[in-house]
Amino acid sequence: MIQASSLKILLTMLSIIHWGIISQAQEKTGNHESNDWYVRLIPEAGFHFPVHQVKDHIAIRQNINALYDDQLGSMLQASTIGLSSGCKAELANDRFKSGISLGLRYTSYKTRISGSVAASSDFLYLRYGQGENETKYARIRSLSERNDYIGLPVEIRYSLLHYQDFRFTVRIGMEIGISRTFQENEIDFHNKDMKPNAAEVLQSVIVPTKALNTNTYALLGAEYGKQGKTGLAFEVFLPGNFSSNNHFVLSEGRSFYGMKFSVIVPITEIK
Amino acid sequence: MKNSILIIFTVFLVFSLNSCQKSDDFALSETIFIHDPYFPGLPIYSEWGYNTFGAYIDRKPFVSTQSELPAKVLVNSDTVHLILKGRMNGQAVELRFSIKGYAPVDYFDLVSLNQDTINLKETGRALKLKISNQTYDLNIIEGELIFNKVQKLFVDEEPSKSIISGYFRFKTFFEDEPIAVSHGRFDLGIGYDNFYNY
Repeated sequence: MIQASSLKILLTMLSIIHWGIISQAQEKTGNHESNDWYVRLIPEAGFHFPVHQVKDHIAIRQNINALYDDQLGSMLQASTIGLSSGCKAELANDRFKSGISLGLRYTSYKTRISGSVAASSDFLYLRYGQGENETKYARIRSLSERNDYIGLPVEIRYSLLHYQDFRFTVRIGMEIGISRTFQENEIDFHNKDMKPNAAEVLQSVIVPTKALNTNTYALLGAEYGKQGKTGLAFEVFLPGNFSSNNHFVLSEGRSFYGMKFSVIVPITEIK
Repeated sequence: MKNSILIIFTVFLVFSLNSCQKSDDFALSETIFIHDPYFPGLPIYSEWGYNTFGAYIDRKPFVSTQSELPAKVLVNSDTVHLILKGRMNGQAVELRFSIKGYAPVDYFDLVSLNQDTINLKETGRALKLKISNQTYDLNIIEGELIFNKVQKLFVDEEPSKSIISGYFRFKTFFEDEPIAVSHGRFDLGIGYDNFYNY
């Protein structure tokens, strides 16, 4: 059991070490005095890769997720990628080695399902109608959807390490969904004569989804640039989490990975 | 020279289209065996035309295989025969249901069996079990064959085949001993390649 006196000594030593690190940081802040608040403008762009699986209601004839002996070499591919761009304003202070930012971000997610019933073919069978006495399949090359969102990212940054012109950072954030600005589902038929039936086939696929995309995330990254000058940053998601698993028609999943590139532009000093 | 190139191109195109067509048909005839987690060894019950069947014969799974055509429908005079071909304990086994008084002209007519339950004990019903090369006429104690769903299959809005899906179970005497065939299920595509009317 740790003695109270030993704990006091340990806490005192940690405080001295922490004060020492802060002092060193203050000597390296360059143009800014240690207690100056300043604003940085951060335009950014990035990629999101949601971790997901095809929703159960997508009635593709072969259940590729189940175990069965497949002698024809059939396969199913599903992919989702998100492209984002935005701009944030960050209120930063080098004494605290941190900043808080608010901005706007536009993200476009594209999901695509494709595959083949056999190694020598390029289509899947999608069931789109089932009445009392009939079942309808369509041969499809792919199903795709696109969803675009506007969100409000709120982030807190902390600089872990400062080495010459590099700063290694950790950032936690939340993107509050404001609006879904675009939603579209498309189907590519193997038989072009089926195009007039696209609406009927898509009707079997489309389900209600959440209109707003809110997510939380953490980022680990690095900034490069002289203090008070324009710099660059690269960050990696650790991963992020969607607020629900019902954002997309074709797939579902709660987490995502990705990366972000930013330009850091110091704007003003607030004394 | 031009004519030769045109002929070669046409032959190539015909072969390409034919190979695509064969791939289409065969993919629908393929057996898709998804294991039932609640009944080890048996396929799930489905209504997709997965070309599977399975049942326990005194707890031994009798199931369809990848290599053999799992079912044939034969219509002769006024009797329809549903033949299930599979394996049990590594042996080739065939189960034949014969139903007198029903004679569909083609495989699309099978939809008239939708939601029908056939009492296997009634007159005009017969079952045969063939194990390896030995055929046995079964004396049914009780049992039923249920056509839960029989439907026409359309692919790209064109009629393709009929899908017959359902259950079966029965008790019978086999080599002077009563046996039970239980938890039987089938999901079969019946089309040009496995429907015979003669």
